[in-house]
Amino acid sequence: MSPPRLVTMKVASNRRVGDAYRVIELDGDAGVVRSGQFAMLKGAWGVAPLLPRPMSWLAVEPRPSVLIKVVGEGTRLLAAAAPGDELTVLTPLGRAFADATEIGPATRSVIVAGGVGIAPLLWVAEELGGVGAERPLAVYGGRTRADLPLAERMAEITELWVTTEDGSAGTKGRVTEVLDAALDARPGAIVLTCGPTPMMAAVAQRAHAAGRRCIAALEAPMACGYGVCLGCVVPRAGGGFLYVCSDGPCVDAREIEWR
Amino acid sequence: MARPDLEVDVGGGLRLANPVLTASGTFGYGLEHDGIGDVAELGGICSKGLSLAPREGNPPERIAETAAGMLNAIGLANVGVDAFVREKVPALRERRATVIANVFATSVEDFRELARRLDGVEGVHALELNVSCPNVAHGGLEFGVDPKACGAVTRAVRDTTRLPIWVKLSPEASDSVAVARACLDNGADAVSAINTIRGMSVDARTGRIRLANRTGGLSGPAIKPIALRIVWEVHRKLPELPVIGIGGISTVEDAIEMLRVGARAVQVGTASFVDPRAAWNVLDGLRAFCVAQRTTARELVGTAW
Ligand SMILES: Cc1cc2nc3c(=O)[nH]c(=O)nc-3n(C[C@H](O)[C@H](O)[C@H](O)COP(=O)(O)OP(=O)(O)OC[C@H]3O[C@@H](n4cnc5c(N)ncnc54)[C@H](O)[C@@H]3O)c2cc1C
Ligand SMILES: Cc1cc2nc3c(=O)[nH]c(=O)nc-3n(C[C@H](O)[C@H](O)[C@H](O)COP(=O)(O)O)c2cc1C
Ligand code: FES
Repeated sequence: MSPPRLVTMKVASNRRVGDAYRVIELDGDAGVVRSGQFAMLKGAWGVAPLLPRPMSWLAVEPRPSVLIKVVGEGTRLLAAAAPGDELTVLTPLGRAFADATEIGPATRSVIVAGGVGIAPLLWVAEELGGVGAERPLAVYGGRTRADLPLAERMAEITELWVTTEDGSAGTKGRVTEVLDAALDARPGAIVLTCGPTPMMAAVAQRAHAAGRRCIAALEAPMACGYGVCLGCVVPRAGGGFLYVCSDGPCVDAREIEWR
Repeated sequence: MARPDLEVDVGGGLRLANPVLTASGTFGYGLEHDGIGDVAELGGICSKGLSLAPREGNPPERIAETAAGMLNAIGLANVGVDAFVREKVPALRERRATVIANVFATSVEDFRELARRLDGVEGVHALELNVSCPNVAHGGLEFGVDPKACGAVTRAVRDTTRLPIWVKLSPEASDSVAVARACLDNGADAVSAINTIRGMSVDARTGRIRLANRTGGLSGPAIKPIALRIVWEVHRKLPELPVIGIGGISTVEDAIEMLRVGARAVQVGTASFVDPRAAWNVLDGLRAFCVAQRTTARELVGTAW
């Protein structure tokens, strides 16, 4: 793994995706990044908020970019960054999908995304659906059709099944509604998932019940992102804890004590 | 740039090349910074709090951000003193770091045993006794707020090791000077101040208390005024006792303020989460300041008026 570096990057563009999401492209070198890795981002806003915010790399080519969902002050400020604004970026951080499992164009996969959890999965879907390879099957769920940012892009590189809780797009219900059918449609496929923790827990449980491997890209509140604060724990199966920033975010779902 | 004189004497025969250290629990074991900075350049690094046996720490959530600060209830997760000596210290020696082993125990006996295991370990330069951790069920604060208990811990460790001993003060003692005096009288070479202050955070909408431990230690810029006040009080009453200033230091100005109220050295804590190079930046700034002002780090100590 290449060590993280703190770099200053200028915002190159900031475009709206759906109602509540932004894709921000940056000018600068994000380092040797692989899908599933993340960065800690902060603008010149001093102590409010104090800590940088973790964001998955959406892509690094042609430019490093992130997909942001506004949930509080930090994401509000990031989403408001204008072209030319400077962000400090600590990158690359964490373990990639490829650190948790073999990944290549020949890997048969079912990808399960919830809302903004799409960010790291788009990139890995591109890697999995390489030239001549079978397209991954992606299940993408949100509360409403407005909670499915970048669904069009996902549809270009995967066979995409959409679910919404209100039925405004795709199958009405949650991703678990169609997950068993998706697993049947791709016998033996590995499952890659990112989204709200309860969703990932349910996905892992179904995948395991069907005898599949499941790789989850985890989330936890973080102070540092590089393994020194010991704040970002999730319970480990069999006792103790995993550190999301350094043991993850991408881990085999069997390692987690899902609650 | 010219090389100003940044050396400081922090007691017990320990001279640091410069007064900028990193605070316990905010810098891992000092081995997570390859590619970020050279730890040998820093005045020293304080390890994550070490206990006799490894500890898993508290369940999540362990951290919550607050206004100009953060709460943590890590629960002293650590690899244990033996693994530290076996695995971390050799790597720190290779990097030529000045290492202060921060230790934590729930009894005087265990503090003594920790000191015994670290005594004579090549590459460990001082002990910092954490008698002020707010995030564990037993032991932490009880020692730190009571001059007698704190003196007893210090004495036990003094009788066990020749390493310089720093005692880390709690901001929650009603009389920090009395605690510091007890440390001095029982053989401490320095005190470091301050540890975090207990606080809590609640979600207004749902009523959920954010930390699983319910309460946590407040750190960051929000606590700097408290740290300055305590360092100043201790230095004024006990000028012969070296004080290491900790609390909300993010910039060189913060560090200079801390030296001016009487600290001989400082520790950068939470700021390292915001910027992993924070300690190096403070050091660069201090060097530039001393050159520009034709002064030394030592000359700044206690110059607040
Ligand atoms: C490894 C990793 C990768 C991530 N990647 C992305 C990404 O690509 N895009 C993205 O938008 N976010 C991502 N996140 C989540 C993002 O870091 C948080 O949403 C952000 O830190 C919240 O900061 P804030 O100041 O806006 O909100 P805070 O003020 O910190 O929180 C506001 C409220 O939102 C809640 N909250 C916190 N996080 C989330 C969340 N993820 N979803 C819903 N509510 C939340 C909090 O509990 C709180 O109640 C990632 C997190 C991790 C750990
Ligand atoms: C996440 C975290 C973990 C900490 N762990 C320890 C510890 O193990 N031992 C200790 O003596 N102090 C610990 N501290 C306290 C710091 O060393 C320091 O005293 C305090 O944070 C105040 O400094 P700051 O405001 O610069 O962070 C910890 C602080 C934080 C934020
Ligand atoms: S976020 Fe600090 S250790 Fe993981």
